[in-house]
Amino acid sequence: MRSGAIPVIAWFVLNAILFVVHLLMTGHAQADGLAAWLSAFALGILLVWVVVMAAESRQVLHRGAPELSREPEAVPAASVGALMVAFAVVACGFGLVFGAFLVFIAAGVFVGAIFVLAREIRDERRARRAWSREVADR
Amino acid sequence: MTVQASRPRPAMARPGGWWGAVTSTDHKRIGLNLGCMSLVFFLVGGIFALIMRSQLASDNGHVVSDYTYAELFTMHGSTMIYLFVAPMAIAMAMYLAPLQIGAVSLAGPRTALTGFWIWLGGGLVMQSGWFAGDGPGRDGWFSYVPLSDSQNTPGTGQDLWTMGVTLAAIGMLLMGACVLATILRRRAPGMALLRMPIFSWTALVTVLMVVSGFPALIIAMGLLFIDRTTDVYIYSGFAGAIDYQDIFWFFGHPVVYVMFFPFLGAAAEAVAVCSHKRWFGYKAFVASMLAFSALSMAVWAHHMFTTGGVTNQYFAATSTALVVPAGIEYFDLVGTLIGGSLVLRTSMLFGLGFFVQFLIGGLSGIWVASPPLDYAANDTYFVIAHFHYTLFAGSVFGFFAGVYHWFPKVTGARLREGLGKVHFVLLVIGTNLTFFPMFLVGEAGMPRRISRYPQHPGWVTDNRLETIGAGIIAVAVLVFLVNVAVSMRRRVIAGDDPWEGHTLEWATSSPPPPLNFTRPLPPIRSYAPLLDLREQVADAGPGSGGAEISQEVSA
Repeated sequence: MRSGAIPVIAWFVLNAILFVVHLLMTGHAQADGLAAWLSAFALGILLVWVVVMAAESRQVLHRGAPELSREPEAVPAASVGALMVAFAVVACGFGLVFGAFLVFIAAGVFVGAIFVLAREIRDERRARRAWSREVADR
Repeated sequence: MTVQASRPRPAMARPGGWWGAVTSTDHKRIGLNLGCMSLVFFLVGGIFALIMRSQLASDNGHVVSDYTYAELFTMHGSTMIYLFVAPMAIAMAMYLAPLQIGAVSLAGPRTALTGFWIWLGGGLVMQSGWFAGDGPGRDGWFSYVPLSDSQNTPGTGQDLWTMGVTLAAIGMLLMGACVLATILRRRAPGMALLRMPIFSWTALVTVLMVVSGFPALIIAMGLLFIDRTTDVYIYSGFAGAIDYQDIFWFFGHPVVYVMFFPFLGAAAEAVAVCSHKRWFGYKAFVASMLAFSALSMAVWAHHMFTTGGVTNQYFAATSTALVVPAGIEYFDLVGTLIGGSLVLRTSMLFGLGFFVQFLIGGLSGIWVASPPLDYAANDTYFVIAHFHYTLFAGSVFGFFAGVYHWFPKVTGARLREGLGKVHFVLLVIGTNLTFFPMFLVGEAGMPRRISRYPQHPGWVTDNRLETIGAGIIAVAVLVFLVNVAVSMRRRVIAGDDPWEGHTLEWATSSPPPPLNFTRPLPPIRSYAPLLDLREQVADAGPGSGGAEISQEVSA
């Protein structure tokens, strides 16, 4: 989408300026312990966002309003797979404190969740293809 | 032109009932679930606060033991920050931002749903510590090491707290990333960046901070968990303690602004709509938001001035520099009010209350941003007063401004104005009675986190006033809950646009349909497209073809 990456780039630049000022005021990166590395870490995350968005479409780097897209898109209404993934993560976390058996249950639920998610995504793709054909037939 | 027709989206079958609510990937349902659960945690955290205030009503209170008091202040802070204000900010962004930018759905809806349930699971894991033999976490909402290591705080309660915070942070990070991707990639045709509404901009900078700051909390807590439960000592010695604080506060200060910006946006929208005028100084506001949020990523070590482990000059400079973007917001507020035809609805009162009371929190923030003054104020009630004026007197008032403003959109029914004004008056009295005396006892040196205090002149009186104030806040919250219950039971139908709103969410039905918009979107030429239409009608004059536009706005 047009201009999508611009706010992230603007924010990256502002943070980078502050990062440089910090380094100049402290003298060197190690003076504030982890501080400089933490800022660099956050800048890295922002850079990854920009790179991923730009890799998908260069439009995100161009100014202007988003344009009309006629490409059909399937919108999932519900997801049992997502709920199962969450359950697995929470059960795993709780199990690390409470008892290892929960971690094993979580692993089982997670594997099941992957299958359910795969099915959901397959259905979504089918729905999109069917809709594309319908639009083309009109 | 309609979004639906131009970009067809085949919707999958929608399950109904409670199962539908639990598994729904609709951003409105996830946002509502998150908001409602956050509100439940707000009530839980509020009960903890009332018990603490009861203990402090006299100098030698016996309501709870010292040990339980430590648990209470830890769980009060943790519940309010990880489970109420920060998730509520994300909930508002998740519900409203897609509507305001004309998106029909969220980017990564499954990820957002997963995030919600992980967050809720994290909250329950954290609270489950109450059932552990040694009680829940008791080292403060920041759990500094070495206090929180396994030698000084043994037991599963603190482990559950650490894991609960980790899970809650993972959940919020996932939801924040989805809102960010939505704003960046799903805007309606014509919705250029500088046509996004004020609230959407505040939501955007909020989620930018979430994706850059929250990983630090996950790392801090993950390493603390390893430190506590294995033989690997990560945060050892003085350097380890400073490193923990660095990582924690790299999240801990940005989260203060995560808990502020969306409520600022809500208050600004309420004020602009109730002034019947577009928000003054839009571009300056957007620039100030970007600068404000970037600066807020560079001030975290002002929490560590007294450690001697950070460059105080840099962090004092960045902390003080925050007054510049904050000043722009206040300037814009005054500019919006001047010349507007003001309607003092409850949302407007809460919006103005937000700006006035946050000012006290902000100005006392300049005080503690100065290292020499912070040395004196550190760990006293002055700091408690400061951050409660920003987070409660500020953010919570902004939250209520948003609730009164958008309740008709979310439910289709209006909240009662009379009860709303009673709620506002009680909350203003309660808030100031609770938190202002804290400045006085703090300046007199009363330390925070103590369950008993010496009979210093004025302390007992001030603490009693604070306890009475906390009771009044509780009554105010009860009035709000009654208002919601009454308004939902005996519904006064609000219509689609009861306030003559400025932004796209008011161009759809109340509550919005599953894919948000069933009618054509109005042309987007500014950050207030519906106001543009109304002005166009007014300019055209009666009988000049403006009737269709008017009909479209109020349809």
